[in-house]
Amino acid sequence: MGPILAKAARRLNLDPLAVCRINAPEGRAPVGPPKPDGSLNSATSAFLKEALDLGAETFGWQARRARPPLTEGSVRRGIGVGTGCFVAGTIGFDGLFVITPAGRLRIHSGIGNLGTEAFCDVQRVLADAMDVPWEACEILWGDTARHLPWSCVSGGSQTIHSMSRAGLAASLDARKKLKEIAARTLGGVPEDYDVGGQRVFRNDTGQGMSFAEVAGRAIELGGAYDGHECPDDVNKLTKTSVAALAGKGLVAVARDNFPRDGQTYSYVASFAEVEVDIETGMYRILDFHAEADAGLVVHPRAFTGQLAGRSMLGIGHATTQKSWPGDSTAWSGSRTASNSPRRS
Amino acid sequence: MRQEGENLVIGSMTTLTEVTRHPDIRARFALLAEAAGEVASPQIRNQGTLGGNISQDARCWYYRGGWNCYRAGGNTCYAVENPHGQNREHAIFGAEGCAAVSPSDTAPALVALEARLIIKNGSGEREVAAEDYFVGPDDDITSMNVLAPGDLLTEIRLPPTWAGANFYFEKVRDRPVWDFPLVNIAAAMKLSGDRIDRARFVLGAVAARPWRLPKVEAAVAGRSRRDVADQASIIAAEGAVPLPYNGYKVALARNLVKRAILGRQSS
Repeated sequence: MGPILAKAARRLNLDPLAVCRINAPEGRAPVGPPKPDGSLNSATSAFLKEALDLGAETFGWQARRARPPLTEGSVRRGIGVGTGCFVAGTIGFDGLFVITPAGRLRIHSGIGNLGTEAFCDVQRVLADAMDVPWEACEILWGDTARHLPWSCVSGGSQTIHSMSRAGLAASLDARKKLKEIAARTLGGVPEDYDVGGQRVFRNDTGQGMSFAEVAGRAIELGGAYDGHECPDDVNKLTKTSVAALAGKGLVAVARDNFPRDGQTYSYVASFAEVEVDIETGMYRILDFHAEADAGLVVHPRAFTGQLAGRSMLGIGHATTQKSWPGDSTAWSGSRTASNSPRRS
Repeated sequence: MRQEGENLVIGSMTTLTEVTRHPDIRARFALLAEAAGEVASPQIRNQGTLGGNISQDARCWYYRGGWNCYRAGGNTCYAVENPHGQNREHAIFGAEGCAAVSPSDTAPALVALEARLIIKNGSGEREVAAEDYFVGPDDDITSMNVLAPGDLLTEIRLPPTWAGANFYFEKVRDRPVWDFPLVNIAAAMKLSGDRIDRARFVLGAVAARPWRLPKVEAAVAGRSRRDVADQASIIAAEGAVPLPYNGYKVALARNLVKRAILGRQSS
């Protein structure tokens, strides 16, 4: 609908940016088709109007809009603004790691590597939650023979959201087991203990056990502590992996059962200045700016890559793809329809 | 590359990058240097050769996709004879049974420059004009050129005929880089002031072979560029038979001829 609204705005002499802003979702905006009861899902949050405002300022929208149009020669110049959203996170996946008798975290990561290194970067959330230095973590990934948990599809829009939640769930399971083992071994109740510095220790006296000691004790205790028992709610693939890891240390495994207040979407406002040769249809993108509403940025470089990559996808759609509803031979390519050269 | 008498001789295995950068070509036959520089991508130009570029196979996704069309020895043309045929990239000229096009950027330039091609085989050597090197489906629907089994294209000879002329090359494509032409044009003009003494215009990607425009060449000879540009642009598309999805090539052919005569900024 974006191009249609942009054309309508131009005909009505309206600022396309203002039209975009009117239609931009805001706050807990309704999203998607109606549910069976007629109600609508809502987004966890939407700050697209803010993204449009910030993007317009950075891009210099009003100044560019005020420029006189090119009327000489075959080149015409124009600016455009568009908005987009994408399903940015699924939930309900599993986290799995082992605290080994050497006191290290052996993290089993089911995330594939799309070149963004998300398979390991996401696990930094887990290291933070366990207060373990990154150097004490080992990532096992890329092969189901390495006993991987059930994971989300590997995509820049999904992985950080989905698998950091799963990693946190497994971390909470580990902290609970660490405290329980410490209480059973040193006395008191689990609530007396805290976790930090690769130890579990009493809050009042500091007495405690190292991760290495707890891992050995977990193997002695067996059951859920060392993976001989597995939560019912994790995926069967995860259960198989846990069974294979049983007895190797303290096995932390959990499904992401955290609540979510709405559907997770990311939004983007994009601005472009383009030149088109009306005699040939050839175009040049003179400038492009994307302003994202994506929540907390966990990995700035991966975030930048995601913005650039998806922007390229959108540019590709805008310049080379078109389909005619109802035409069984719909095909890629728009030159004959939308940007065919004019006779000069 | 070497100078042999009046001819600049280019080995067929000369890479497109070498063609683009060679000072003699840039100084005297800039049309070829520019066309070679528009082929594909820098990496491909570093490996691809001039001989290979002009001798490449046809652009047609049915033929290239392994469909058993006329050109592949079958009994139909999927791009034209099938009612749902997709022919956006296909020919508007000379589509006799096959609408595939020559996707070469350098071939139109060599035809415009009246290059001569040396072909060797076990029996000896022969020389053909660039214009006669390429064949259309009306001559041989399964070949793009006159090379027979055992033949090798060994040299491209550029005569001095058009050295230092006024040149124009433009390639229209879907993407600004690394793409085949939708239509390209190579033009060489000898000028006296604004008057065109003589010229050659060759379109690419509109037929299975580089498509020379002799009627345009005749129409512009002895005329002022500004006076004749509109007329030439109309003549350029005479005889064109657009297919359901490639009518835009007619407008492109006309506009490119006009731009070749007037220059990109003045048309």
